[in-house]
Amino acid sequence: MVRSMRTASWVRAAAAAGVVAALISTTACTSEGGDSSEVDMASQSVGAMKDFAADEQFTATEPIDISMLWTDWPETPITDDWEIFDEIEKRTGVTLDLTHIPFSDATEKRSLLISAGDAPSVIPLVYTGEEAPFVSSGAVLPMSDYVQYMPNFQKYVKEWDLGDMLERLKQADGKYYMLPGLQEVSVPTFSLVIRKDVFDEVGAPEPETWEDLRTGLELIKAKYPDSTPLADGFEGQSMLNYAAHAFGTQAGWGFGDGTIWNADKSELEYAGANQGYHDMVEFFHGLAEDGLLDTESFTASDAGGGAANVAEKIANGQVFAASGSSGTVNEFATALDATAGSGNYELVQIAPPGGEAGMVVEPRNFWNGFMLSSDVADSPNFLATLQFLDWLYYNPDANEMVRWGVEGETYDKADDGKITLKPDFSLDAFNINRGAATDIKTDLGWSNDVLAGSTESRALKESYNSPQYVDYVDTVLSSRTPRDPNPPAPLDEGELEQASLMSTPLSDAVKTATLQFILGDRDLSEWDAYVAELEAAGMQRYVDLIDGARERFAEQNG
Amino acid sequence: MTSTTTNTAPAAQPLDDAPPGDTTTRAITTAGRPPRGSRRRSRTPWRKALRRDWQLYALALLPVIFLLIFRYVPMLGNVIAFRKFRPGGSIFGEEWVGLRYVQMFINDPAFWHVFWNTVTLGGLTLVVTFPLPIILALLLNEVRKRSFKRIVQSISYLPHFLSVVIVVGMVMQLLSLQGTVNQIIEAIGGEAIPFLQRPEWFRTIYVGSEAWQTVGWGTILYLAALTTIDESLYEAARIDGANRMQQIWHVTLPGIRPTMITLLILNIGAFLNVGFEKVLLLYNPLTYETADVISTYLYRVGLVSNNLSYAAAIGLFQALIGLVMVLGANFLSKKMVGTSLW
Amino acid sequence: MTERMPAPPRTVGMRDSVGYRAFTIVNITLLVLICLAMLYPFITVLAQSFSSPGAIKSGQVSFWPVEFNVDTYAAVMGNGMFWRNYGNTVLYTVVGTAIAMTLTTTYAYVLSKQHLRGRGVLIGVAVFTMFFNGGLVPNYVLISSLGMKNTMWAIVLPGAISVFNLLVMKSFFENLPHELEEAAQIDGLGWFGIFTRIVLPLSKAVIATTILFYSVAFWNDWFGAFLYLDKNELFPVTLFLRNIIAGASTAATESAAAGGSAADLNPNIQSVTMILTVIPILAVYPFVQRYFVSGVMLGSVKG
Repeated sequence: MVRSMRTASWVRAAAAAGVVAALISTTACTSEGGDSSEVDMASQSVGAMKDFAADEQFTATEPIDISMLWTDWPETPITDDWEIFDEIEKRTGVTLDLTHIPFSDATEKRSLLISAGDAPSVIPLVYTGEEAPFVSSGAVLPMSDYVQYMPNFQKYVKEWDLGDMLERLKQADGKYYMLPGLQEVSVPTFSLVIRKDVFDEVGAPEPETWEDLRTGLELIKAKYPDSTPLADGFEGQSMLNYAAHAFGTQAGWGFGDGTIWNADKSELEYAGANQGYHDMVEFFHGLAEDGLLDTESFTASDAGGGAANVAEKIANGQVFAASGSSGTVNEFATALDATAGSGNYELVQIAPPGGEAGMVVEPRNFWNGFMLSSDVADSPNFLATLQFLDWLYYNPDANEMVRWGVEGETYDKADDGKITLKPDFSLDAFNINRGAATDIKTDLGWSNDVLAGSTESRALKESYNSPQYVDYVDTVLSSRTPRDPNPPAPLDEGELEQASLMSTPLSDAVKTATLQFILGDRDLSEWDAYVAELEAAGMQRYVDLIDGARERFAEQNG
Repeated sequence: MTSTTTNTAPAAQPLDDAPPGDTTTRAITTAGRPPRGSRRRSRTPWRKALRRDWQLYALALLPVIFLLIFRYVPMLGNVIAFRKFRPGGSIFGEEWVGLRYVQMFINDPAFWHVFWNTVTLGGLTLVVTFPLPIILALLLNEVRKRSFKRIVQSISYLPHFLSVVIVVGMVMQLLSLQGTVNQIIEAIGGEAIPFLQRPEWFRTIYVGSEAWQTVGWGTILYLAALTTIDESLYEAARIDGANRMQQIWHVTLPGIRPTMITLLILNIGAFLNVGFEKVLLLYNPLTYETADVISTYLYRVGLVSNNLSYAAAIGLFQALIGLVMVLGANFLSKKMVGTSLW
Repeated sequence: MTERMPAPPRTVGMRDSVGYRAFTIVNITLLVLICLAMLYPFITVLAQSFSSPGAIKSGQVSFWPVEFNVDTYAAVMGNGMFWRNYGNTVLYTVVGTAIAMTLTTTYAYVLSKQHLRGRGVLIGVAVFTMFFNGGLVPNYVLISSLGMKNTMWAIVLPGAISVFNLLVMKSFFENLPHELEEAAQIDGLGWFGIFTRIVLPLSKAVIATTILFYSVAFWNDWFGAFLYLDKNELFPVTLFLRNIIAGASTAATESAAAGGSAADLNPNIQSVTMILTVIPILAVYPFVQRYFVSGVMLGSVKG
């Protein structure tokens, strides 16, 4: 085989490597963040406003630069014509130094930059929880320590009653490490999209509950025996998600860590084994057995136009109700235009149907948000940065600007608050003024996906969405109740490691069994055996772990 | 000044690795290599080696430096398998935890399950996709019309360039309940099979699509190797009365044997690298049992905790296996066949 | 002295047996079937790239384009950044392949010399790197510390030696007949001279193959750019296209914003990007093929 390694050459190699490694480790070390207790706000308020209050314009007392991570959404790359950064600079005196990361694999790149110590100061996020991996290393700042300097944030958290939700963001040390975008109203993004014309045709009512839906599907199947009227298209994860809440459990995308708070019994239980889950699985199995459910759409994803291409099936009259967002409605419409022809169908996104747990939908949600690299805490502009971000993310004028542009230039605002986009401008992403010369999103940078949509009042949200979507929001708000969120149970480092190894086999078993039960590969009479399997896989130990964290948090935080 | 003749004279020593029967042509093709016995076991002293081969060492300098900088220095990062790594902290980890992560995965039954899945899937892929390009190359070699051969070659490479997403999309479409395969099954009176939901079908589907995608591209090396076979060897074999099949066995195959051995050993080393993206797109919870491999399992675990130290520990384990396999394969190859990678 | 003879035509001769003829027919049929199997999906992708979104979404496209249009092509190719990135790709591929070939051929040649002292170590140094690498973060920190971020070197250097190609090439070199080298040595050539004047000219097939492998690898590579480049003017076109695909498919599932952006999802974006990436390689390949046929003339060497 390989002859024995010659000491001389190896020693030389190792020495060289050692030198380079030493260099690298010092580079990595020096970029670590500072300790928040060392922050002296008085000396770090270069550029900050003395009396910064809510709903007021932030203007830096001297021009400052702030570095920010920017995800390049593919259809809207930053061009020289973009006005948004110039306008921000004009209004606030802040120049944003952008570090671009590509949209595909943005999470990995972001994680890499932070891990390598190369991240900019402001890191916009998409989902809450994305800050969690970086908490224990101190790479990001505990924002809860600094919200005292952010009046807009505090005002709207209070006004829109989001305080309890903020509790859920707290980590094991009682602090939260990201600031979320605040939403005055929060409705499920994904729900059921139905072909209303076909439902009407067979005399089925618009489904308010899952039982209603079943009746409707049966009527449709009677008329179109070759169809499997209901489909998901997201490997079942979407439908199970919004159905689960109606059954009193969590599933699909909403499965979370698998634990759910049983308010009646005042205890934590495993969602994959509770009564609600059983009933939900039984319901869907019934649908599958009667040929009402397109089972393929429960296992194959839609990516790449694969077998579960639900749009195709909708277009060909095999499916008449499927999971989707308002964007999916457009997708189905495009497909139907090609077969049925425009105007010959009606697609409606309905509120998620209710069930045995009531007319319940998912708990309220935040949207987007940001976190700060800990090296910002050393910056002389620290206070100014906080104030700037408070304005950019939480001030209603800023929110309007980020969404619509400059009043009088790109849009008009009537006295009653109604916003109209000027005729020379379009917002193709939301089908407004299509065909106009300039698109405020692609050409000018307004309504971009990084900043816009984080914090929105109900009025702002409705100003740019289609009337159908507004109807959808209204229906959900008026006829559905958001479930209470689970009590916070933040894990510390060691627990997190354990939890990830315990939860994966459990959730795998749940997902597998769910599909097997629904598709009939496994008989529902085996439910108890299935629960026993979960127990053998450590379900109780896992729930106890989370529960311990929950109790600890409750004690420490009152 | 001397002249050398072509290698048509049979060499003196028959080699012990010839196929049964005919040793003549074997010896012919291997006459160019130094006979095994003459590999010197005594080491040349350094001064002499440097004086004689300084040009070689000089040529090797740049590549070695390159490898040291771009491969070995980052390798130091693997230390996080034994030190706790916190994203955002030092890249060499925060503190020594020794074998903690190693123990974590050794004691994790889920890990071993996916490990064996990976071994099975990788092994099957190797066994199936290794011979296919050879066979295809040989078939192409028998084609006399050059233009046809070229066209077929070019077409056979096309699947290699299709992205994983597209390939998986096509596979799903083919195998869907209304897809082509099931249509054929129903036409001959059978019942449609939901292939993508059955764990027992996953391996076939995966290996099949791998074979389809790689067979054409894999022939490139063999075709290049085939061109290096001396034409006159075929001539000599013909004169000796060999028909086409025998020519293939005695001239062609031995001629590409070094390439085959090289590729076999290299592929053995890489057999645990089952394609992450493809499995991720093809699998679903119903097929986890056979489809879940190490990389996809780590992916799901990582979604919860992003534990790079754990991943690094597993990565080292995989690397170790690969290294041992390659060394073993090389050793066996040397003993059994006479040629090896080094 | 023998003369260089032209390669005899590869006919089997007068005894074209029935068996062999049958075999030939089977062979050709098989190859044609294989071609169809390889070609069909590609044709579908090509057809989809020229079809309308509606037709694709309703599953009407299989062999021919439905509602032929070049809209997506125009949209993608009309983007100035697309051409800029295409130029980058060409640059990275050419430079990368050149560097890779230099390092690989020289190293492979050295490694093929079985008498060389320390050869085992040199091989081991290379082989070891096939299995162990440090992962994303250490590589990133290295490139960053060397100041190569946002430069071409971050793309072309890290991938410069593929140990796979190295070992294959070494294997080829090892199997060249030694008499030629010995003759050259006697004539007074040093190792370097032998390398350039004897070995390289005889190795056209493997060199062509390795150039092909490296070029394709560089051409398709987006990962290095993704890791080390921040500015999208520097991106290779593969990353550009990957972003577009990611955008289109994410809008379908994760639903960007409540309203859903990109109302006209382009299902043929994937097919268009694929075609655009593949066509140049397919165009170049026939030129490389020439070297596979001419091969190595193991003729005699004139005295």
